[in-house]
Amino acid sequence: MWNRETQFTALVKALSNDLYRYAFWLCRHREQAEDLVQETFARAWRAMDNLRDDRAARAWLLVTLRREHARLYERIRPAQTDIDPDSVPGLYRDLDSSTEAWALRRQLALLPIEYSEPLVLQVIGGYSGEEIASMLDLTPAAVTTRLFRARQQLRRALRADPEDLEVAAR
Amino acid sequence: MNCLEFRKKLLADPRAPTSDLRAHRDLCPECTVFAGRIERMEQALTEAVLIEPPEGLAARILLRRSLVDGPSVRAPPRRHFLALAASVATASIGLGAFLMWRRGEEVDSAVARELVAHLLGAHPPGLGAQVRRVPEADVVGLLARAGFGTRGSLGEVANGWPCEFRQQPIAHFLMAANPVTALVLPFDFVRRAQLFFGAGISGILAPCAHGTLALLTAFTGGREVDLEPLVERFQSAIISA
Repeated sequence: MWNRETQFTALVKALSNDLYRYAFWLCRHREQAEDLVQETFARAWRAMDNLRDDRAARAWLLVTLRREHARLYERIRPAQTDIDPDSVPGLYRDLDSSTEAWALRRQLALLPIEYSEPLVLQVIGGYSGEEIASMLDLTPAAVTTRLFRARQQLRRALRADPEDLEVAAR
Repeated sequence: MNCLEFRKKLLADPRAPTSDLRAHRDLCPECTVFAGRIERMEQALTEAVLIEPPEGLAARILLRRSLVDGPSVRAPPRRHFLALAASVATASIGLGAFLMWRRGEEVDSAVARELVAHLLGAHPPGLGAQVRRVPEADVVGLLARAGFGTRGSLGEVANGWPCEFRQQPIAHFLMAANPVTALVLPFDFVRRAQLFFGAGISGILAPCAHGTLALLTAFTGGREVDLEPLVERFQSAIISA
């Protein structure tokens, strides 16, 4: 028999980490990220009767968290890009992270949100361009452009082969 | 497909290259090198995005749900605790403004606030699911750790924890018979029993051996548990170690 509490517990254990990562890359603040995840799951509890399909639940939670973030942003307008990523405790997961990952994390924190958000959704959730477009209320073409630009900016920031696209244009 | 299209498409989604992307890569040495670099960057990007969540995140979410919304599956001991915890959560919002001494003395709001904060924050995650009957020997051990001895029974204890309050060990009990939380504290906070109520919580601070007993329960508009017999039982059972 389906048990609401059991289902909720399973959902929290399966998805809270990914939701937290998404929240963190949205607000770039550890405490706010946890608040967003808490609020999202509070809403999920009230909507549990509609969240029996795991894949749909994951998308629902991400979209709900995004709306919570928008509400938070409306209320307090937190600064999003003027943080120094080096100053965020625990931002860098551990000392074993590769140099590339370390540098990428730093650059990711500096990307405009319209570029980092679809990128994070793609990496965390494994969503297609169409699915991300649906979640972010964009066209698939717009998502493709943003994903391309996000990675392009990361590559530029890392000074990784800036001539690659010029090569292609020859 | 030309090189520019290949690279744009690959940068938009390098995780699952389509057949036309694979075909171009196989024919173009420069784009083969490019694809290799993107693959490595994607691995690093995945590692970069997957930051470490805070420890105990899931447990805190589950604990908050149980505190705020109450249990969906009713079990008597857990219901009692959660009823109290929900009341305490409500109480904490306006604690400073609402708690008052019934007998005309002003509440030591710092102590009251700390007691509530302890109740909300000092438990191990998943507290509500851990209700059990605590053996008498464990109760004695928890009290001894806080510097107290016993000369009788406290009654049936549903759960107990070795906690700290103001950096000192205290004994923390959830009583089985009533929805009452008991804290036995090695601090001389009061010289006689002091009742207080308000904002969803009813409680008592009473001298107990060399320290203080704090009992907290849900305030239910006059139908709450009578705490004074429990105070007398604790006072007669607990002695200084």
